[in-house]
This record gives sequence, C-alpha cells and structure tokens, in this order.
Amino acid sequence: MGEVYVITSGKGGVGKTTTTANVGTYLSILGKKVLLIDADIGLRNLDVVMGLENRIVFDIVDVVEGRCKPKQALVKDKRFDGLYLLPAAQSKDKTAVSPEQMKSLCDELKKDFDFILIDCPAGIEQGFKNAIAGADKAIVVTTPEVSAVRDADRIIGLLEAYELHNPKLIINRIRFDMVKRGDMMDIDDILEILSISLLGIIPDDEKIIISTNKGEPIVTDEKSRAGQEYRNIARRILGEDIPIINSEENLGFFGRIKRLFGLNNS
Amino acid sequence: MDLSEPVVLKGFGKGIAVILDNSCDFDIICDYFKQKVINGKNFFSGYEIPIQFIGRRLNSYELQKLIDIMKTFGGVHDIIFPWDEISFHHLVPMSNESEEKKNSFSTSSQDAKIYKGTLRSGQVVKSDTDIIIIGDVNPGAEVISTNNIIVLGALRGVAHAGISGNKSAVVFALEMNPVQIRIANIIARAPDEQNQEQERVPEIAYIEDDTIVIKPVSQF
Repeated sequence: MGEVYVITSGKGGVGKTTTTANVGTYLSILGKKVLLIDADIGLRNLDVVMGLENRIVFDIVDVVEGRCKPKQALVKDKRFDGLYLLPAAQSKDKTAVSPEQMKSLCDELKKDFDFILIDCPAGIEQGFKNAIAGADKAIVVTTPEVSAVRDADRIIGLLEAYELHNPKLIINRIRFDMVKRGDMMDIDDILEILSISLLGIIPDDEKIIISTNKGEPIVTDEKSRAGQEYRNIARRILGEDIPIINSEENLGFFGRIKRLFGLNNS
Repeated sequence: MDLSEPVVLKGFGKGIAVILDNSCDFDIICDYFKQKVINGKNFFSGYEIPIQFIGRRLNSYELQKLIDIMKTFGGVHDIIFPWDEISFHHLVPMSNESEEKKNSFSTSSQDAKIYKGTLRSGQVVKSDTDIIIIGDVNPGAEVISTNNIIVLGALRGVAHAGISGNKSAVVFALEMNPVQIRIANIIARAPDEQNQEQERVPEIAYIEDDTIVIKPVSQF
C-alpha cells in the first residue's frame, strides 16, 4: 500500500508543479512506482511540465464520471519506468470532482503504487479540498516572500483542520546572496513563523525555467543545484538522513576551494 | 443578439427566458450559464425567479444542474416555473423566441458549424456536423466533430474528427502543429522533439491503412 502526498502552497507560482514533477521523477529513478495526479482541473500544467501532453487520452474527470477505468487514464512517462501521470481535465472546473470521489480514487490507486503525489491547485477552495481529500501526508511549498509565507501559514492551519498533521516544508527559490545581504527572508525567519519541519531548501536556479519549457524535469540534470536538492528531498522522503545545508557554500566548486583556503567569510 | 453564444438570457414579463443552444455539449451550456449567472449575480439574488429554459430539451438531471448553478452562484433562493407546472420532462418553448433562435442557428445536420475566433486552452467546440474554425486552436483546446474539421488558422490543440467512427473524416489546418489528432478511434500524437524549422504549409490529416497520415494539401 503506497503513501499519498499532497503538494500544496496556498499561493500560486511558488513551485508546486515543479516540485511534484521533480520529486516524483526522482522517486521513480530510485526504483519506486510513482503516480503523479494533477488536481488542478481547468488549469492543468503538470502534463506540460512532464512533457506528456501529447499522450493524454483520458483525464481524471473521465475517470470519476465513469467514462474509463482509472488505469486507462494513466499516462506512462516517456523516460522512466514506474512513473505515471493522471492528468487533470482542461475543459472542466474544480466542481467536476468531489472530495469523496478523489478519496476513493486515491484509495484504489495507492494499492498499485509506492507513492502518489498530488499536485494541488492554488487557493483554498474546492480544488484544494479535492486535492487533500485522499492524501495521507502533506508537503507545503513556499518561497521567501511574506505573501507566500502568509499563505503557507493559512494552508498549514487548514491542513490541521482537515486532520493532515505534521506537514513538511519546502522553501523554494531561495537566493543565498540576497539572504546574506539581508534583502530576503532567511530560513530561520520562515521556520519561526511556520514552525513545521523542513524537508528541503531549493536554490533559485534559472535552469528550472529551461527544463520546464522543455518538459524535462531538472532532477535529470546532474549539474543543476536545484536538481541536486530535489534529489535530496526524494531521498529524505524515503527516510535517508541527508543534512539540509542552509547556505550556498557547499554548492559550488569555488565555494569549496575558498573554504579550503579560509577565504569564505560566511 | 450574439449568435455565437450558446446561452442567452432575456428578460420577459417579470421573469427570465434562458435560450440554450441545441447543438453544443451540455457541459459548455453549463459553463456559459454559470458565467452569465455570476455576471448577473446582483440582478438575480434574493428573488423568487420565474424562469423558462427554451431552445433545448433538458432531462431532469440537466435541469437540476442548471437550477443548482443558479442557487450556488446566483444566490437565488427559489426558482419557479410559472409557464409550466414544473414538469421536468416537457418544457414548452416560447413561440417567438424559439423561432428566432431556430432561424438564426440553422442547425440542420448537413450544415457545417462555424466558429470564429481563437479557441483557447480549455475551450471545446463539439458538433455532429463538419466544423470550421476561423482562427487558431491553441494547446489545451479541443475540436470534436462527427465529420470533418477545418481550421483556417493554426491547429495547436487536439482535433478529433469522425468521433462516432467515420474513418473517412479528415482534419485540415493552414498550420498543422497539433498536440494530438484523432480520427475515429485512431490517435496520433505530436513528436516529442518539436521541429522548429517546419515549413508552414496547409496540411491535411486522414486515415490510410489504419494509421493517421499528414500531408501537405498539394499532395493529397
């Protein structure tokens, strides 16, 4: 029996879909059987980010309305075995699926997968309620901005209210140079407000934009710093104890050299 | 009256007539109706609304769904059907209104349905006639026809021709760059690597030996 994670944030554009695509992809690279569910009905994106749009025949609304069996709607990934996508419908809206339907669908599908990751839509309305209905655990994504942190706080409260306890936090798109200058919220400020456990810190990386546009998850890019941290997050989900490093010093070759010669002043 | 809209609201007497398109998908009707109700929320809310749905036969499920939309999004407390004793199966069309509609839409099964404008992501045009789109079909949009589909613009979304099994149906586009083309029960998808250098010539997709082939119109 697999575990169902919902990836949520409240605010839009903080990286829920990117996180879902990358963590899911790397879990499958590590040999797990993974299903990604796009719960953003009407504004589906996960298929595009995964580069699987052209393979979609049925979608989640077809499944809940009985036009096809759940397995018929699953899109197999073109790169990795054991990775599947259940796409959202584009021509419907959130009301096309009810939380009860979502829950029974997740309960049925998790028998066949090690992990199900649900990409939650932004907002706290029905789409959010649908996305969390079938979830066992929650991952909250935020960025170091007051608005995103405020929304994450609201979401954590709602998750508690819906009995999804102990969500894990991913802080996305951090720029250590700005934090050092005092121009960006730092990790401790965010953790003080949200007071939930940290699953990972993703550095801001322009390669994400390139990989998203190409439909290639960045975890497959060995050189990308963001990709490296997504790989770490996947390993942490599997229970590996990988320390979270709250600075950029270990991330670059020159950083390491500088530290070796005692030049790093951080 | 804007003829391209599948749902038109008209006040008459103390009530509202809702004129529904008879040819398009019920889900599209719902979407448009919802939008109309949301836009006219202040106008609707709080009253007992005498209403009549015309232009399309609704079954009890469909009627209930439209009523639910009004209650949920329009803040309407009660809906009454003063012209028809709340019979869910038999809805009498209003004479002049429905005549006007019939003439203007001319939905006889031989005529092609014409859609003007860009079809955007999430929009679906569905008909059991030929469909002509004067404009582009963007990724995420769908055109579904029992017969042929002709796109006088760029086809970048999904086109499904011959949906009830007509394998002689074709899809034509001035610029053929679809996510998927489906004809009858056969599906072809775009290659994963996009060829940027592709010439933009009008192309036509059809079935040959149970696979979908796409050729420039000049070679068809």
